[in-house]
Amino acid sequence: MIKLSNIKKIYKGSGIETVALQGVSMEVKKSEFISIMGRSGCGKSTLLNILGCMDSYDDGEYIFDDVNVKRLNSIELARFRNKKIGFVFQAFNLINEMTAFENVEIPLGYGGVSQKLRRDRIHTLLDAVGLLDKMNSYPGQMSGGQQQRLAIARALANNPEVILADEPTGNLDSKNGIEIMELLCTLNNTGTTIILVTHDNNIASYAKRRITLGDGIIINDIRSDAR
Amino acid sequence: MKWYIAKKIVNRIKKNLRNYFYIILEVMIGVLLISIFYSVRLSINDKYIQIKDNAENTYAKMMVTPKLTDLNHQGNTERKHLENSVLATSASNTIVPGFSMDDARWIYNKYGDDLSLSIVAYKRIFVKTNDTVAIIEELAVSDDFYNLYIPNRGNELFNKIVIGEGAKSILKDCEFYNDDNMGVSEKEIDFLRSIVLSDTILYQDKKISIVNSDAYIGERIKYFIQDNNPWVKNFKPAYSVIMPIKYYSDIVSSSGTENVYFSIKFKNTLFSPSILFSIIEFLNDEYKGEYDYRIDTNLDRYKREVENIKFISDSFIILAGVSFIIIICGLSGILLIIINKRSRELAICISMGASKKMLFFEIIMESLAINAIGGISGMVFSLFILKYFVSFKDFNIIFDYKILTYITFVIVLTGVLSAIPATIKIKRMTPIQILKSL
Repeated sequence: MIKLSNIKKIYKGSGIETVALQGVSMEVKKSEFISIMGRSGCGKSTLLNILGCMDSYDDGEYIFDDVNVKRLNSIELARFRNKKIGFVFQAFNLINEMTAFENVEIPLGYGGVSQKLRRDRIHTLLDAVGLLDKMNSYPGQMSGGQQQRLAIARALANNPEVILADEPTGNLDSKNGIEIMELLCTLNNTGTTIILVTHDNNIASYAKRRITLGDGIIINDIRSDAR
Repeated sequence: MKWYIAKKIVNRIKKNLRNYFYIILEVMIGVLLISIFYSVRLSINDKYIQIKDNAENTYAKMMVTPKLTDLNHQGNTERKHLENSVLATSASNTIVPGFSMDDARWIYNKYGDDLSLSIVAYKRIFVKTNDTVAIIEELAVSDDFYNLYIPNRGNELFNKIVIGEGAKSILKDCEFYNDDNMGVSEKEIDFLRSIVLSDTILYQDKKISIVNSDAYIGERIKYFIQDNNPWVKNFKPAYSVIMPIKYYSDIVSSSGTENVYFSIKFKNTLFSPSILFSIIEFLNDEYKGEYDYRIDTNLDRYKREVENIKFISDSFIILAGVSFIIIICGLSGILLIIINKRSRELAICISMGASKKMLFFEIIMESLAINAIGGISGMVFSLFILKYFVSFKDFNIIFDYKILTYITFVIVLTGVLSAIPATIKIKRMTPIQILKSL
């Protein structure tokens, strides 16, 4: 489904070049659950952003479902991101001025889904994450765990092929963290590919494949049974 | 998707009405000012056109100026200092040349259907023959003579007509044209004849003496007209042209006149400059370019007023323009602040699949919606204010529906222009940096 070949990324700023990725190659198959680990600054978030088409790369090739991502223009890229990828952030990144319903509605709205279908889909998603009763609540009125579940519901809105989660439990206590990871596992069991960035071994242990990055290259790629 | 964006904008405005209030208020006040200023401008413009039309169409005086090179006698020597002066109204002692009864005949023959011609001599006439100066005070000979002049003299004032011997002898030699050829009624001609030829005339069964003026030589005797007399006030020379008469100068070697005119009135047609120019062409041919003829309309009289109006009108347009710029600056500044505050939201939207172009569209639509709310409110208020409160000198200021088009244009333009800084901000935005910094 995803094929990265020799992806390089260099940040340039005021005469200093910082190499974030210096040739990452990997393949991701459908329904995989991958964790990406590594020390701070090793390039794991950069890799996730490139996978999510939120950041560009300087060299290499990124093929997603036989589409060369580099050849897409900005509008095609936005549509691609909207349909194929769901994001879950450490800080939830919900819009506080919008209700739970409206937050989940964002990707559906930009995806051109009709109002009736949007409403049905939002009800289904909020029900799935146990937040149907919070439909008209604002993020500020919810707990951290609820907010992250809402973020997951939003990420799933357009039924994406891959969920990219950047430290999804980083801002949660252990109980809520476990709940979120179990939710992600459930999603993975229904066929959604999940790529997770974390520095927590416990969280990484939910994944069936663990990739470790160091200094911008993959230093370890282990497939094992998830817990 | 457009409906989703529309719904999103409506929800956002509803939820943030308090924050948007000041923008809406600013747009409202701006549009209110623009609308009022523009209405005033339109009204002033209408007034200006009206004044201009009135000035051009209601009155014209043909002025004759001898070319200075031909002047050698005393009166004209004085006039050398009065370039372009209106000789017919000058107080010098020289009769104005450049127009004769023959000329009047030519005009009558050519334009008799359109014009009526008459002599108008009012205020003083100085008639000088060698050693004698005759003063005819306020003698008027015109088609308005009976209707306006005589009845309003008043019995007390109109008990004596003074006419100098010299003038009397000159006028005796004058040709008085009757209805058949000059459009002056027989009755008027008779009256004039009786003034010139008799010692008394009968007016309203009252005997009025015609007094030899030799005793009054050099004196200013006013018998008939004061400026406040009703006929002067009521005398409206609609569509008339007044020309100086040369006739006297053929007879009198050196004489003076003030306000002695040959009057041309447009009878059945509207004021026609082309006829006047044709007459001027004829006169130029006749006098071999010896005189400069020019037509003076009421425009000169209104010139100052028109200039004032134009100044006021231009000031209002500048004010409207300034209001427009203030709206754009204010609105774009506020939108920029809003975009800065909403950069996180926009970055999230981008991560959820919104393109920057969609966000541009969203921001412009939001700006247009705010402008529309403020603009429509401002327009409604201006309608109300113009209807009930605004009056400006004698201008009838009304809400002209042309303004609707203008204001719609202003709303769209301010909406788009004020969103530009915000769209530039979005274009430069790197969502990944914003999301990272959270």
